[in-house]
Amino acid sequence: MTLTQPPVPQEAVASPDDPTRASAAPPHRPRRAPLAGAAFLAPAVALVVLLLVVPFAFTIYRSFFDDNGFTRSWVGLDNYTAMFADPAFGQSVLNTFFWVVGTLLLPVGLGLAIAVGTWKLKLGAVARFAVILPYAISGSATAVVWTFMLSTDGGLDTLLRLLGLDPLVSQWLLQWPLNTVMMIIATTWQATGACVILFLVGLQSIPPSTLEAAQLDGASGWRLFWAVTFPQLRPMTIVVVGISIVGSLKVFDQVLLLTNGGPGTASETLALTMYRETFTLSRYGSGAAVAVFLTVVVVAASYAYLRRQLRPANG
Amino acid sequence: MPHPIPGGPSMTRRTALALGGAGLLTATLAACARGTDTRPSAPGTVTLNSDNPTWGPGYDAASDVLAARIGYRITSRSIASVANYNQIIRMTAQTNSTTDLIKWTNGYRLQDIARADILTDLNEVWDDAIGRGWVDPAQRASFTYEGKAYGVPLYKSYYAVFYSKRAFAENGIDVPTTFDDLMSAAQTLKDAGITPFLAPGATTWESEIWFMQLLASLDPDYYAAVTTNQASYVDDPARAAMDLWSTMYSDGFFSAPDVTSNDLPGLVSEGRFGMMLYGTWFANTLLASGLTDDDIGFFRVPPHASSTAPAVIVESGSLSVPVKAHRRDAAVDVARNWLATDVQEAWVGFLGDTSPNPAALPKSDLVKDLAAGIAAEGPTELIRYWEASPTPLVEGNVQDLGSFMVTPSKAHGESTLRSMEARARTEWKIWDAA
Amino acid sequence: MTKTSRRVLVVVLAVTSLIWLIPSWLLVVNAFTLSSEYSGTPSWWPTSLSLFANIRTAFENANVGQGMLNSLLYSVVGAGAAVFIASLASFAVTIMPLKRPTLWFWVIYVGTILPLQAFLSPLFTGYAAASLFDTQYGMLLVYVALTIPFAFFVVRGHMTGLPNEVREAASLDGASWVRMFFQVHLPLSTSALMAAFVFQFTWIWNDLLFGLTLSSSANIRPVMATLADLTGNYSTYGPPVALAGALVASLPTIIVFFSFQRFFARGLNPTA
Repeated sequence: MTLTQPPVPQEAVASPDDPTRASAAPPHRPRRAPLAGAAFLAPAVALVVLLLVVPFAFTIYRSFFDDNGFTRSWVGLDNYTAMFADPAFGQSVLNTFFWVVGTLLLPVGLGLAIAVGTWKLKLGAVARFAVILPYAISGSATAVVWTFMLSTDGGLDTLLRLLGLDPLVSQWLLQWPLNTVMMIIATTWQATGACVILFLVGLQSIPPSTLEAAQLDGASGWRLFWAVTFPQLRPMTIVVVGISIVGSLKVFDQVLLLTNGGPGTASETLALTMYRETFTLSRYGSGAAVAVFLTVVVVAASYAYLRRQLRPANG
Repeated sequence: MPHPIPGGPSMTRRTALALGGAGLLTATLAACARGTDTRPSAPGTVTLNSDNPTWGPGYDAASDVLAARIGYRITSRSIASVANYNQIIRMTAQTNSTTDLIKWTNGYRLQDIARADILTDLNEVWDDAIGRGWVDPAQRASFTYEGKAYGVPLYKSYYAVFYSKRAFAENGIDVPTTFDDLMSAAQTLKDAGITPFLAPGATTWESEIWFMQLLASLDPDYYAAVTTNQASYVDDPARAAMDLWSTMYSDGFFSAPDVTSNDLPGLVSEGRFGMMLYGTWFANTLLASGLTDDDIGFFRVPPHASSTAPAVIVESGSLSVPVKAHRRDAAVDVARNWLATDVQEAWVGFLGDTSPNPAALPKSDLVKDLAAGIAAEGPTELIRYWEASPTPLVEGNVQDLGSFMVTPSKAHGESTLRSMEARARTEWKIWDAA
Repeated sequence: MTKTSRRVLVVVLAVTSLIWLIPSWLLVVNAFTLSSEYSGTPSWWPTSLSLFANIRTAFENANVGQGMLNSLLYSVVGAGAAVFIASLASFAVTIMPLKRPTLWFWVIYVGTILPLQAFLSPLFTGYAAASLFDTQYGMLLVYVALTIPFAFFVVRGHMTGLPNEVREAASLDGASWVRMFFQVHLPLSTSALMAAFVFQFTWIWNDLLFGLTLSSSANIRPVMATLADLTGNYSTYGPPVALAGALVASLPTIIVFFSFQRFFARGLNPTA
């Protein structure tokens, strides 16, 4: 990852009269310490591989079988061919795509806008509170509230009637693709808070001197943002976009709780299809095939995005 | 020695070590905490796994009687999510971390797991119970797979219309005895500004309720046939049912399909409740929210034509004993005594529902008259759609029905039936092959 | 920033905040409603003051209190351990001379990518076999493993932004890797560590799937799994009780969020 400026507060670098620096010898190369590296890396790798990767490898294995939890028989690629041939699968892929686009536009875009917009404002804390609060509220409470809002004659319909906007009253969660759009809005309500926090962390690591220098040069408002602030935020933007891509491809809870993939299977996403095959129909092989497909898509998307952004770490 | 470089709340090495050590200690202590539920049960008790946490007090009430009869109590544990519960049972029943008893469904869902040889054969328990007149012999078929019975009825509910006595009284409606009476009752309620039928089901299993009831009222024999792969979903009775359903929707008799049954008590207190077709086990919820005999009554949906034999939909859960249960013999003993009249009276006293034992009458008045009427008339008992066919077929068809409820046009009814039939062809082939 | 554009900004933010607060408002108001009066249409104003009655129902009937204690243990210890382990790994991948840092990055990052339901079933079977099912230790283990990848991603992102001068300055005096880690990089990454901790605390606290599947006793179950009793298929309590329970269960995360916020909002210099 290349940087244009050191994004670290000035006081982090040892001051010139630091006694340890005074008698410094010329900087020597870092010692090769493969064992130390392994020791630092080991706990994380061990836990992730043992508890996450190994069970997943078993799921890959399972996708080649016809498995109902009791008996298992080898079917090779049959689960995969059946999956691709199923029209409901195509619908799932389409919905998942909607979610990715929606999540990149809304929570990430709004999160950035709100973080930057409220950063310097004294009253910004109020806006931040309003936006971050939903993230702290539990998923089941969120689902209940949004079901209130979006069910027929629920909160939104009542509000629209109150405002005299009767023609807009719809069955928000019962028509596809309207329900997918509304669910994306509900998720935006909750997820923007996370993006705001991450962007605030990023903003905070911009050295004030950089901004002051730019403002002295006459940049302000939109130009300041576009020319200075946004580029400085790049590391954090990468984190946020990377996470959003992964999260939106895997979206599950909101769809399950608000529409259960309905009506029929119209608003199912890939994670929901996998869940239905595995947990409802007890067809572990088919569910595993969908899981493998979803994982491949997520890995490919993340890799394609991050590879351009990540270069080998400095050193 | 270099001082810690400033730049924020400094994390000195000491603090870090202290935190790490504290964390490790906590984790080690935590390792000693094992779940109270997964230890082998205390002597004199058998464990029961279920997906309904609200029935705990019922099991306790029944246990008091069981303890007196055979010296064993039931300790129940529950897993609130139905989907997770199904998976956990499938996984644990093959190991010995299973409970001694499990709550399951009957019909094809029971056959699904019975095929895997993980449940105990309870034939002699049934023989015993039938001999003592504790259970209706006709129920045995739905608990049997290849000649062996794998569960006893945990509960038995009927599908009937819950109606608001106040709404009926205020609008001069008598309890309907014919199907036409039911339709005019609905019309009267609609004219009075009350939604006639609260009908949930857009995205849940409830979409099957009106489908199965309309078939039961039109042609009970056809219902039994189509659910056992002896008739097609595009035959005339099914099309008549979908047409009728569609007409009722266009007459404005149904609520929006995304209401929930839990709205009922609130609607009653606001005087806006008309009727709802549902399982009588729901009476438990109504009792818990304070509704009484004065508020709610029951009646069965009459046959569509006077020449059709009366039929009623029955839902019955299964109490089964996994083969690998720790206390298997005790569990079988509990199953044997579960249907005893005094145990059932304690059980339905809590549930407020009917009992598989015809002699145990529900304590709650809410359901008593219904039970008496059924006992007197003896209608054909049809199994609920959820269990009536192989699981993947039912799950898919119920989704199709939910989709129909959102757009209940006649054309959509036709295409829904075609979709259901296509699925039936595939799924029956798979079921028969396994 | 000109005065007009600032005013416009303030108005836009005010409207946005108002819109954002509407669902939270609904949540609070309906948690106050008496359960038996709830008829399917949400109320916009508090119709009664039954919040505490609802809370008591939730606590008595679903063991929400015990669930909260369990969740506190899992969230604090789990998130703390995960952030610490993740920062060790981030340090290794970004600063230390490893042979293939990108490979190790992907090995750990892949943990966030896997769809959770995909390995739930094998994990359950493994737990049952290893006698970890329904134990606090088992829950902690899985929560730590699940939260390491995201924490790793965040902390690593921050550490790659630290300049080379920092490392060189510290290695000048022959500091060992351990000392460098604890005395240089960890303090510098505080805001990232705090952000990661807050997120993972929230994630673990709000987890439902693993709580439901890998535990069942009251002294092991985390709080969201206990709340599921109130909103499940057979619930006899309407939304107001579930909302009241969820509200109380959300308080710790709200408190954590807003007390840690000063770490995110540190160093703000209003120079408008």
